[in-house]
Amino acid sequence: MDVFLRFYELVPVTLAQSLIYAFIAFGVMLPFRLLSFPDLTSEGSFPLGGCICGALIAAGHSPFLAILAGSLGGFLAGSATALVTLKFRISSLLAGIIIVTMIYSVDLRIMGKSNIALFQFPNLFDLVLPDMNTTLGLKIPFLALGVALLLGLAYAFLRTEKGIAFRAVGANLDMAEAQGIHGSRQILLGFGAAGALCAFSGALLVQSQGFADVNIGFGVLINGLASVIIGELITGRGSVWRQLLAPVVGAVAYFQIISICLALGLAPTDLKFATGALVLLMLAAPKILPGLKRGSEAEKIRETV
Amino acid sequence: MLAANDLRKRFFAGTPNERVALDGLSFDLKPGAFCVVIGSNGAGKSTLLNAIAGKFPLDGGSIAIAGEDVTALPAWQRARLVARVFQDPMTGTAPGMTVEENLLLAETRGQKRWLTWGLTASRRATYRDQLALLGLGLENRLSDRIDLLSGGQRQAISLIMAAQGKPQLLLLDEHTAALDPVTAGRVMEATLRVVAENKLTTLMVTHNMQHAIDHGDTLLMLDAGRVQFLATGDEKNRLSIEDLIARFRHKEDRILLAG
Repeated sequence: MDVFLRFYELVPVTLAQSLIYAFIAFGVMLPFRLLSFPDLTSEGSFPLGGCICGALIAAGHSPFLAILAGSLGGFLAGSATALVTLKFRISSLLAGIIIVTMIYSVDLRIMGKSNIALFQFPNLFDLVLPDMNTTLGLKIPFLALGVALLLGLAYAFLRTEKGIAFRAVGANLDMAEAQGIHGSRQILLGFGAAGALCAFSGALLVQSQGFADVNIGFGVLINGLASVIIGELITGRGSVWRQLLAPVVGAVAYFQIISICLALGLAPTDLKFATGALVLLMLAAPKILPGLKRGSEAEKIRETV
Repeated sequence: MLAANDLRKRFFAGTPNERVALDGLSFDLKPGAFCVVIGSNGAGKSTLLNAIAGKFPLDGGSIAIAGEDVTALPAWQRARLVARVFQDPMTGTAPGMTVEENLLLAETRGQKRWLTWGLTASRRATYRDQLALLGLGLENRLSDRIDLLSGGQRQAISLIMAAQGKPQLLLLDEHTAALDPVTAGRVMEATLRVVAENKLTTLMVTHNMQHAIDHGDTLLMLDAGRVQFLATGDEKNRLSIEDLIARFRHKEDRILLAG
């Protein structure tokens, strides 16, 4: 009962948290799933967005401008990975790790130190509605609205002529080019958009928690990946709509799982191990459990991650 | 319509696996020509089609389509001039996307794509009519994922896709070879109809000697990356399978003698 109560009390906080992380989960899903091109840059674009946003707010700029600038930084980071991959034929995984490493120094340059407190500055939430940042009853619907807006826009885009061409690049690159679609440009824009979403997520987090730190990115890629995989197990990937919904549903589910673990007494410092183990377990499930047939949803995920 | 001039391509240059795929290959096609390409394995048929479609840069020579020099253009920029159907039905379609989305990709081939709604009611109606002509019942499967269809169905749709927007040049790369004989016959019939209706200039690679005799007004036989034999008009019409085999054999005799 005690465990249940502790979990119950955590639900609003983790829900707000998960809606902020839903943006980065979406940014992780985009290159992996819509472009069939693995990208690890989120680990760097997320803190980059947060650091740019934090530094600008601390310098007295508007939170709106700070978020916009942060997202733009993420767009550049994502495009940089794509550029390195496409121009120099370096694997996108390695390119991502190189860019992430370089971004860490950029973050320190931007902030001038490893963390900045933002409590005394205005933030996005309070500007929209006074006291929203401390009132979860307002913050959660506001964030949910933002996520719904993202889903709606993404879905509408993917049904336009441009959007269908974008998906074709992920479905069959050779075929897409044979239909006159410039594959490299689509990959560049896709990685950029994913980076912008991850950075947007980082900028939201920084304002929500009231401080910016160069280390907020550590492990977020695996959080995002866990969200995508859990989400896909729940929603499936049968249609564009389900594929878009998966990271959001997954982010919410993932944070509730984490919350249960914490309620059961798991030390917060063990969370990274637990998340990694969870992702490994889900990827390995088809090999470990003979009951799961080939071609099952889990097997498909394992082969394409 | 198509002018291939002294095409040269070496694969794996500078390695022990170096292979000359195109060795000074030249020929021209008139507008509206239906050219059948034959040749033994490794003669350069597929390499020729890949070169025309722009899959790789040439080592030498030039290609012009409809009077435009495309030698330096990448594949995606040649798409407004060239459409292609591959041997493998998987290659020419986008899996995970619906039949109508695939048709839309083909309809907008080589054109500017806009941020406007893709699958409008009028487009769907057009696609339905186009697929109905095939007589395979595919007009009722517009919103099905294309990877759920059989190889023959996908290949028939690939053909309709290739004819969208009347390309200047249609490339058919053994497009019936992976199908069972009945389906292959149907797809071949549909091919002839689509080519005739749209008056498409066509280059068709085949291993089927009967097809090479029966279809087309031009015959191109390749050997070792060069044109071994080119027949047009009456000369092409008078050819028999025996003539073609004799020309293949002629080459084999030479190999035996050289050995």
